[in-house]
Amino acid sequence: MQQRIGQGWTQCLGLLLYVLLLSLWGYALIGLGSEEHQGDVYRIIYMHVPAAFAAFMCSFVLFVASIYGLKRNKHGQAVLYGRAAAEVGLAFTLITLVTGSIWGKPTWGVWWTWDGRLTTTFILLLLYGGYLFLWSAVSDPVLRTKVCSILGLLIFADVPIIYKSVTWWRTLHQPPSLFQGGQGLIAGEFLSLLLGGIAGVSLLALWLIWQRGINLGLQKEIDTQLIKKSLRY
Amino acid sequence: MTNLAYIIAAYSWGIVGISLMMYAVRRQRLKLEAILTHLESAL
Repeated sequence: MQQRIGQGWTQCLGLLLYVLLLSLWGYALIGLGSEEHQGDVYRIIYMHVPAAFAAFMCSFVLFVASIYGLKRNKHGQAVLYGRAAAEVGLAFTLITLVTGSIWGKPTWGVWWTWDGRLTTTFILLLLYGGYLFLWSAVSDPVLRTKVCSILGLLIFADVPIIYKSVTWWRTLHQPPSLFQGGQGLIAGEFLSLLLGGIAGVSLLALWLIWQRGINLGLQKEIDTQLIKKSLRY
Repeated sequence: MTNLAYIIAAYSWGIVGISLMMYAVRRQRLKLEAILTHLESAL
């Protein structure tokens, strides 16, 4: 029952992050000037890039949970956080792909193209979906932890490929836009807002994983109690 | 579509998605806690 303690402040924390992000996006939409080449459509990056970083961060949480699950915690909470990270990661990958596609149409002239960056991100979406599918398909908890953790490691391995895809292959997607060769490529105010957005959305994703992980733990506790109850009668 | 429409579409997708996730975890928590409290009092 310790999850219920401190429920109020964790909700306030989530709400605070949400409000801060809404203000940041409000400023990105209204406060910033137009960009020289793209006009106003560049403002989509304040939603697209942070969502992409959050999706990558989820894969890191999944990686840590998978390692921990494989080594020490075959039945415990760690794998539940892994599952929560896969769910949140799936949602943020979907946000990344859709906002990227909306940005791509006025910028590139197409909604979608099978270039390196887009394809590897789409593979990330399929891998997150596959992880959740595998989770529901395997009923034995020990086996489930094992196979899902192995897939969790594979999901994390996709992230560096996504990140490097724009330098390894010729793609329509532009090369890394934040930093290149240790130098920032975006001007001051635009960059700080973007970094703020990345930090904010990543923290919100962490908060969502945390909350969903607790929910999965509660669900597990309910299942245990129901079994106990049915054994009594 | 004008640039404004693209911007509105992208932001709506992101904000609605995030809001739904936050709402879903909160709602599910309340439901699960109610079930657990009921089970504990029944046992």
